[in-house]
Amino acid sequence: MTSNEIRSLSDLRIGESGVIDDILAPRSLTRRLLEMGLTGGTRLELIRLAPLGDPLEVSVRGYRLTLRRDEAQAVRLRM
Amino acid sequence: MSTPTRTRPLRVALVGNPNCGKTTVFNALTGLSQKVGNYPGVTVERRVGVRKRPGGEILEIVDIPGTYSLGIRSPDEAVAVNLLMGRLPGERSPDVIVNVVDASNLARNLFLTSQLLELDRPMVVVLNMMDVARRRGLVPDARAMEEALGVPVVPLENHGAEAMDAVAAAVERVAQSPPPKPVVPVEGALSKSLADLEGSLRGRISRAAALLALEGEETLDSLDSSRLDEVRAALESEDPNWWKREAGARYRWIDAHLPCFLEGECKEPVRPDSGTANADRILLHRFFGPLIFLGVMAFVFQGIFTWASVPSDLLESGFNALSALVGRWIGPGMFHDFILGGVLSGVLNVLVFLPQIVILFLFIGFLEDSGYMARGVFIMDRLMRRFGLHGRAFVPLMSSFACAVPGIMSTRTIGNPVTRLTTILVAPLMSCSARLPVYTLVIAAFFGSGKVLGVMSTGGLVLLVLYALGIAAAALMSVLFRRFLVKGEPPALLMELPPYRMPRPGAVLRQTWVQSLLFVKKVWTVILIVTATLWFLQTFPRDESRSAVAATQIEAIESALRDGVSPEIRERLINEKRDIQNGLRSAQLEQSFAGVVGKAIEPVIRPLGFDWRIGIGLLASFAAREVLVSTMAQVFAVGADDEDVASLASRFRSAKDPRTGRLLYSPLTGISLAVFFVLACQCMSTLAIVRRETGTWRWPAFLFGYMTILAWVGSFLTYQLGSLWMA
Repeated sequence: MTSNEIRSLSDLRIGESGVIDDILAPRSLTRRLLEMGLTGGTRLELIRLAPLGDPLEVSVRGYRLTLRRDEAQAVRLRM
Repeated sequence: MSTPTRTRPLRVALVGNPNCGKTTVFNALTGLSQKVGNYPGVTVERRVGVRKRPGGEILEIVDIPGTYSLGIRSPDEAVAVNLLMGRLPGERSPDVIVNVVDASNLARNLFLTSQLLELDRPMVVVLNMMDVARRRGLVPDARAMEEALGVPVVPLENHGAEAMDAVAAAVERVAQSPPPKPVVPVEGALSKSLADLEGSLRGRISRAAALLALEGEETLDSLDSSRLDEVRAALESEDPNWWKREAGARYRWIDAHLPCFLEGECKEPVRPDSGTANADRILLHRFFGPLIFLGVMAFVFQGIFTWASVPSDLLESGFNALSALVGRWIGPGMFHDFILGGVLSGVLNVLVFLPQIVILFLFIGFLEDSGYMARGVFIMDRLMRRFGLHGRAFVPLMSSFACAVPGIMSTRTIGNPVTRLTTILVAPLMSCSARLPVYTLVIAAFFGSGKVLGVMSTGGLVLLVLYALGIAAAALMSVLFRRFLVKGEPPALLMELPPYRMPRPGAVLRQTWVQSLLFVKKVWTVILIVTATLWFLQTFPRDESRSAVAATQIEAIESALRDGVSPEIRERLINEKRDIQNGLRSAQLEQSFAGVVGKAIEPVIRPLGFDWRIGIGLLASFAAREVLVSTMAQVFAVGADDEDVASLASRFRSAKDPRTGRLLYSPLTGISLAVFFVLACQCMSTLAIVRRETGTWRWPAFLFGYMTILAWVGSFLTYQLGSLWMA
């Protein structure tokens, strides 16, 4: 099912999911994302966008997380 | 670590993720014996409570700011980490750590748990939110968790006395036992560096302290910094991604153990929370979501604005009755005036806020506890961010339309100190209900009739513009503050959308009660002192000869009334008596200190179109904005009753300068006055609450200063440009 295509979390369509490949953000933001459970190999699904298009709601490790588009840009997923 | 014969209470640090229900546990453990303040120098709330039970040890419980990890990236996280490590000046290091864990979200919560286990301190894990967990088919196996974590695990089915006793008992038990060992293994370059650090330090350091030191977020007192830098550099060069690996290892450990942490029947895949997912399909819908949110907010606003006025009015009339009673008991005289005008009105000034505070905190409690608040943040974040704020700033700002005092108190729900401070500084610009009487007076005086474009009344338009001006000023100032004053990285919005759950009235009521009590406890001194001072300024010095003359006149009228006169004359005499009394009060006010100050500041407020009479009003309205109306009534020798607002408005409009005979005020003066009230912080209660929330007088002083300047400039531009345009 998985291909080698790498996409940013912010480019996902609603309902699409991917597996975290890497996070390309400054160290402090990357750490924060890791702590929230966005470690390599974790599956993420984009659930919806907020009414104004930002922030995003994703499903990760059995809970719902919101993050802004700027932050989501840094999360690279293997599709 | 703890001494065998303890003379001090056992210090317990309560720590957990945001949204794990920590506050509920804290309230249940400590009851009302809690102190809330600030840590010195930061807008981070400090909550400490004491638990005393017969047969149990005395526990001193510190509520640590909610955090997802032991990282230091913001002031509240710094407070959390330093408290846990016993490195915060003036704070005793905790004897026992109690980690509150959201049972419905074990994976993410256990990340922090795995770090806390490395603090080298006795620890207890408390499983909260068991109801939500059960609904999702997740039933944690406390026994299995105890075995893997090496610390007691106490599941909380409720927050009753028995459950809290169980927590306290576990705390007392672990206080006597050795601290837990780290559970997550370290590998590769990191394990070498840790061994290096341990080797350099003869005494042991906790794994947590060592990791923070390697991350560069912490120094080690017992190690000179060049040695630490050396170890750090070696680690970074050998494995630049060691910190990613370290976080990954924790989740790998959690992933490996999670299945055994859940009871047998639940090892099937976790049921998704379909109720929450279905509700969110509507509540976060692109069109209906914002509509519903605005509806909820309108409901809250209506609650503070309208419903609170019922108990407030009751309180006020009750107080008036009490004043009359006390007044009759004391008898007329200076002491009578002081008790009524300087003391009782001060008490009323404090209590009158309580209904609004209670109602707002009830609403916030239900919104937070149900999980809906996070949805509001999700919906509003994009908009608020445009002004350098956070989605969480919306509710406090909106509440400030009713009253800034509860609004500012509710900024505590904004975790990040940068956005919280900015929100506090702009919230008083929202037109609160106390400004409405002032707006009403101005509109009644100058814009009573007339329509704009045939549909909207001029008064309505003016009101709309005034409210819009407040919002625009708040938006502008928050952008400026975020750029120049309260700088700092815009906090990332990494927030959980928790599953919906039934709010628990008990927890909400307790939180509301605590907040209300705290408000009264913290601000009554300031408000009483200012009220008494303002009364003094408006009463002294007195013109004794004049009041003696008035007293003789009144005496004469009263004796005439006693003798019996025709109804016609009787009415005339009563009117005459009232005019004498009002005239006396007006004259007394004019030559009081307040009058002197009013006249002294006239040159400063002249360019705004104000004279010394309005100057007195500005001074007096510092107690509360609506006092302007009663003070102006006194200045113009009109009775201060409600039915006299119309007559005050007409006096205001037609007042003439006694020397030149020209009209004192124009509609432009009215507008300028209204603009001043939109922008000025004429409210001692707001300043008192800002002092309490920020922990220093610096911020209320700044708030008062910037808003006064803003008000002056705003009124100046309004009046001067208006004059030019009219000419």
